[in-house]
Amino acid sequence: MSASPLQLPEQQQQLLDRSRRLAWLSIALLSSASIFMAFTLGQSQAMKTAWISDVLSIVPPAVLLVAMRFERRPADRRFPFGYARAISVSFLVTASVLTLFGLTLLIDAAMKLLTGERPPIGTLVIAGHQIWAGWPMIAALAYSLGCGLLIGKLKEPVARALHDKALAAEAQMNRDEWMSEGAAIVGLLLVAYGMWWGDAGSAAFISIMIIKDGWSSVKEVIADLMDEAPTTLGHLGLDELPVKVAAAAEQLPWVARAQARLREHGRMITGQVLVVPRSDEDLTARLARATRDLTNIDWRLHGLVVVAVADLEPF
Amino acid sequence: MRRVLLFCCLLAACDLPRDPDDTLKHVQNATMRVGIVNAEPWTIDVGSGSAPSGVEPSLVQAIAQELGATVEWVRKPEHELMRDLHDRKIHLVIGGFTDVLPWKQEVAFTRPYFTDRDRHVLAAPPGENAWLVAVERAIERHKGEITMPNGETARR
Repeated sequence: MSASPLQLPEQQQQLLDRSRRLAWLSIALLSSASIFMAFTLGQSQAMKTAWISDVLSIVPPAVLLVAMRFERRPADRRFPFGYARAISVSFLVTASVLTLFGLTLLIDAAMKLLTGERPPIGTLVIAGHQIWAGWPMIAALAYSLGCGLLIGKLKEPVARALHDKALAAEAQMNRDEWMSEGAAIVGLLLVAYGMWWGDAGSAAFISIMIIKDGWSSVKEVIADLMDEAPTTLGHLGLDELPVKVAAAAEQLPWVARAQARLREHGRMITGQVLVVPRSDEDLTARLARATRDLTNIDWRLHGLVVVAVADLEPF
Repeated sequence: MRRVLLFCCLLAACDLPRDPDDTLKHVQNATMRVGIVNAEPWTIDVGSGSAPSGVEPSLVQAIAQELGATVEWVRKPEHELMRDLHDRKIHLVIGGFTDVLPWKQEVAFTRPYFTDRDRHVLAAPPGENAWLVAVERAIERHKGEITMPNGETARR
C-alpha cells in the first residue's frame, strides 16, 4: 500500500474543490433557511419536524468538510492504510443520527395523533400588521424548499462525476427536502381549514422520510465497512471495475489466471489482484509493472497490490 | 414585501384559519365561558356573588363585548379548569398566567397582553385557531387601555 497522500487527476481535483465550495454553500443556505424557520416556529409539530429535518441536513456537508481534511493525510504508523475511510466513518455517524432523530419524531407525531393533541397557532405582529402565524411559517417553509432544490441540483452532477456516495446521498437528501417542506405546508393549510390532524399527520410523514433517508444510508455505509465490492452510484448493482481489472491482468502474457478483490476505500477503490504466474522468471519486476499498469485503468484505483499466488480459489 | 403582505391579507380575507370545533361561532352573540383563578392583582375574585375585577377580568369583558357575548364565570381549581379548557368545555381561563408555565403543553397561551419581568397571557383551548386569533386581535386592540394596579400603562 502506498504511503503517499491520495493523488487525484486534475479534473477530479477540480471537482473535489467544487464539492467543497458546494458544502460551504449548503451550510450557508440551509442555515439561513433554518434561522428563518426558527423565527416562525410555533407549536406546530409539522413545522418543528420540518425544521429539525432542515437543521439535520446541515450536518452532512459540515461533516464532509471535516472528513475532507482527514482523508488526504498520508498513511502513518498508526493508520498504515491511510485515512481515506474518514468519509465512511462520517457517513455512518450522520446516517445513524438521522435514523434515530426520525424515529423520535415519528413517535412524537404518532402520540399527538393518537391522543388528539391539537396545534394552537396564534398571531404574529409583523411591521404593524397582525397576521395568523401560519402564513409566515408557510413562507419560511417555501424558502427552505427552494434552497434544498437548488443545492440538490448543483450537487448531483458533481457527485456523479466524483463517484462520491456521501455527496450523492446528500444531493438526494436535499432534493427530498422538498417533500418534507411540501408536506409541512399541506399540513399547515389543513390546520388553517380547521383540520387539526393535518399537522401531526404531515409531521409523521416527514419523520418517515427522515427515517427512510437515514436507514438507506446506514445500509450502504455498513456494506462499505464490510468490504463490499464497489457498487455503482445510487444503485445496488456491482461496478464493472473488478472484472475489468482481472481481465486486464489475464491479458498479460506471463499471467495464467487472475482475480481482483477490490473494495471501496472512501471515495477511492483499493484491493488486491491475485495472479497465477506461468513462471517465476523476472517475477518481481513483472509484478511492479503490472501494479503500475493496472492502477492506470481507473482514476479511483489507488494502493493496489498485485500478489503472485500458486492457485486461485474462485468466489 | 408589500406583495407578500397583500397575498397574506387576501388569504386572511377568506376567513382562515378556521376552528376545528367552531368555538368562535359558538361564542359570538352567545355565552363565553371563562374559568377564573384568583391571582391578585391580575384577577380579584371574591366569589360567585359578585363579578370578578382586576386587569384580566376587564380584558375578558372587553373581548366579550366585541363579540356580543355575555361572560359566564367558571370557578374551579386551576388543574380542573385547565383540563376543561383542553377538552374545549370552556373558552378561556385567566389567573395571572405567564407564558413560561408548563400548562403551555396542554393549552394555548395567547400573545402577551402585558410584559413586565414576565409575559402575561390568557389561556385558550388548543387548536381552536380562529378563536385564538380573534382573542389575540382583541388583546392587541385593548392592551393600550389596560391600567395596571400600580398605575402603569400596559405597553409592549
